Amino acid sequence: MSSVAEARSGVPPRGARASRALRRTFGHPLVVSIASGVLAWWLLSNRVFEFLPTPYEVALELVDALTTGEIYRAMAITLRRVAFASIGAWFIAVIVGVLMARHWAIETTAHPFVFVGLALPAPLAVLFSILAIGLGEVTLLVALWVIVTPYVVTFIYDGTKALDRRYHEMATVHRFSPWLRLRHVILPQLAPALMSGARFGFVMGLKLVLLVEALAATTGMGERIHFFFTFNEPARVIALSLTFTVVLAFAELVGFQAVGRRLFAWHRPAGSTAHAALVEVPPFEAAIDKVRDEPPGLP
Amino acid sequence: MDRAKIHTLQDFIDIDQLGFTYLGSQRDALAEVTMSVAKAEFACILGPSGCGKSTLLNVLSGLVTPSAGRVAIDGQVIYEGGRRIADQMPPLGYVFQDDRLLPWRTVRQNINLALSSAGIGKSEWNEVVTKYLRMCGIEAWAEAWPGSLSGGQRQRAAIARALSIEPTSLLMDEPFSTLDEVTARFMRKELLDVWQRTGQTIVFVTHSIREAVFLADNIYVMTSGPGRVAERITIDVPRPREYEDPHLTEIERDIVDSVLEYWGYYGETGGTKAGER
Amino acid sequence: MSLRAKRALLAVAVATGVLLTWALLWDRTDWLASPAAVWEQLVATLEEPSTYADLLATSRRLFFGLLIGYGGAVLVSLLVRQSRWWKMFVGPYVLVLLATPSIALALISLMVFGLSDLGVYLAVAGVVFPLIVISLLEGLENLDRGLSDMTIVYRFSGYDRSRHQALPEMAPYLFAAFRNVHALAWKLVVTAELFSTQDGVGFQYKRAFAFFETDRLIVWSIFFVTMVMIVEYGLLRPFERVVFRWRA
Repeated sequence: MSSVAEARSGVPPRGARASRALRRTFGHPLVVSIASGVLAWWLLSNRVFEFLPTPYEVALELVDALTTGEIYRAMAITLRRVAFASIGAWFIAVIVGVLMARHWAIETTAHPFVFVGLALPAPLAVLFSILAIGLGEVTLLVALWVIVTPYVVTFIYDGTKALDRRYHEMATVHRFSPWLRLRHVILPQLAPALMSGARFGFVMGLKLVLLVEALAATTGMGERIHFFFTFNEPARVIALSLTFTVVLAFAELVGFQAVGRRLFAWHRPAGSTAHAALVEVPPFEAAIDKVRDEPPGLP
Repeated sequence: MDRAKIHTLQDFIDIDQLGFTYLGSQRDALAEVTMSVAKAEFACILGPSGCGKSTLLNVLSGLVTPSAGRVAIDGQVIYEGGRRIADQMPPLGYVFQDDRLLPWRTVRQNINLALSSAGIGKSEWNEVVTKYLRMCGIEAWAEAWPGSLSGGQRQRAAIARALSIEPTSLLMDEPFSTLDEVTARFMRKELLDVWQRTGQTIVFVTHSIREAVFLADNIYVMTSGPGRVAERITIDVPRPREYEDPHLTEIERDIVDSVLEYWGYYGETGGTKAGER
Repeated sequence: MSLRAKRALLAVAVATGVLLTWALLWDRTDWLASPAAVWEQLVATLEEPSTYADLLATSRRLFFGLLIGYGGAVLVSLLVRQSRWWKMFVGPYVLVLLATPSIALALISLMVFGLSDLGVYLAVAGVVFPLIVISLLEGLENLDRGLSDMTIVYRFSGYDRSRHQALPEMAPYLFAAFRNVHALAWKLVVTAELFSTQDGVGFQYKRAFAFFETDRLIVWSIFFVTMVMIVEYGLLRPFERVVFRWRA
């Protein structure tokens, strides 16, 4: 009825416009989604799933945790560990990855270790670390390094493998100094892989630190979550988890590009296209022109 | 008086003032296209890239609905005034430029699927498939995966698929343009052979004047921006035709000038036409 | 000597080197067991019938968890494909699940469902679900319109379109999604078992750790990796070969 009026006059009547605006806000999928989710949660809690706390209980715990200092301290400790772990893992991975890609002997030697590192479940690395080193900050760091580094190595390895040797030949012909070679030939090609690796390592570290802390730490978010788990306080656990999720979601939005590309690079055919996904190589001819404009110095 | 009767009784595909505009676009892809194709006619639509000839085929095949105009096939009105009237499209064979065989099914399975979708009973499949594969000369490759066949063989399989449902009309969208010239020539001859045996109406889209002259009874020259039928040229040369026939070359030369003029290549630049000295 | 031969030789040399180092240095540490002890333990564990019950339990949890997670992801992907509205509806759930660390999801799931197997199933499903949705949606976007048009022109029935066109086209993406998630799921099951169950590989880890039995720990790790490999090379690869045999 209002649509007929619209069709005739071309201008929607005021009532129709208002109801459309209302429908758009409340009918918006995000609103419906969150509303129905919370509703379903509330309906299921305490009655259907007796151990599921109500949204209200979780909200209370959330407020409580945010107002007392404890959560900020725990989060700070956890994030600091993640930072150390990812940076360390990144450096190790760069060294190992580059060496692996350039020397077949190193690759053959290192490959089984990387493979085992990728295949073993995280708790195992933690358990072994505890057995070998005992409980302490170092254990946590070592465990995280053992788990995260193999993944980052794959990024760096792929990136290094994809380095175009034509550029290296050109650099040799033009007698590039090692510094120039590094700066203009190697780093620009490698940069995307290095960044993807760093981001992936960081996000992965964030995801794993909770597990590592749950098993082996005396402070930090993971330890807190495990503590409340053993004392069977689901509301608290959910509240802590939610705050961590917010931090992680934020990091994911920044780092997700790298994670997503990693997931999808799998089904591209092996070879140039897979590497192209990680490394953007400037056109060969453009690079030659650039060198011609900036001669590298007297031969 | 009934409009349908103004056109001859022979008209099989009747298109009247067809128009098509892409949603949200100012440009018309097709405007005021009017043409009729007689039964058992081999009609070629000749046009440059982007003139909407593929869109025209898409309309005829039922993939898109035109924004204006009237289309009737075999007496049944399909579209009128921008809406689809008929709920059932008449049975059509369509050969695409890229064969569009399902690569994960054998040639035989591909054709079986088309037969099944056309409502042909399972008991007849074997017989029909063998018949048309033989007609297209690829009976030996019935159980092959399309990926292991050459381009020409795949197109023949696509043609066999189109024929197998025994449609009243066959739509072909530049089916030989991706093949090498030798294979393409062979395929054109084969196509004419098959056509003479089955007697279907064929609408064949191409951008090659030579190909159109060789194949067609009538050539419908389309212009672009927006697409419309500029002229209908009847090729009177008796069949079977030879590709190198000088008579055909002469006809080709005659129409090249006028066709290129339609397509906007002469006039402003004032180039020399083929016939002039 | 060819490169392949050199590589094989080096690999063998490295393996031998590792074994030798282990055999020579194990008693210098206070936590490592000797290779001989590990071997003995391996044989002994293989002879125990309860081992197979444990392996079966872990496999079962993996199977159902993946079934729920993967199946749910396929259904949701089809739904999301229908309209943008559903895409936006599903969005927050996918994002939240993606951003929840698997251990947190596992612990919450275990608490809510009372440390039962259902908790493990849903933990695995919850972690796996968003990853597969993303992979499948990426695949669905890249589908070839040409074949889809052909099925319209030839009037394929809805069933035929799904079974003969859409599904085979999605096959590479379905496989890739499964692969990405498979190894992760194994690890997650073990992690969940660590905190809750009375059987399974994870439980064995916990026990071995509690009793300081490194030899058992190593043995069960070997079992774990073997299980993953069996699924990959014994199930996935052959299945893949059949599904993709049409490739030129």
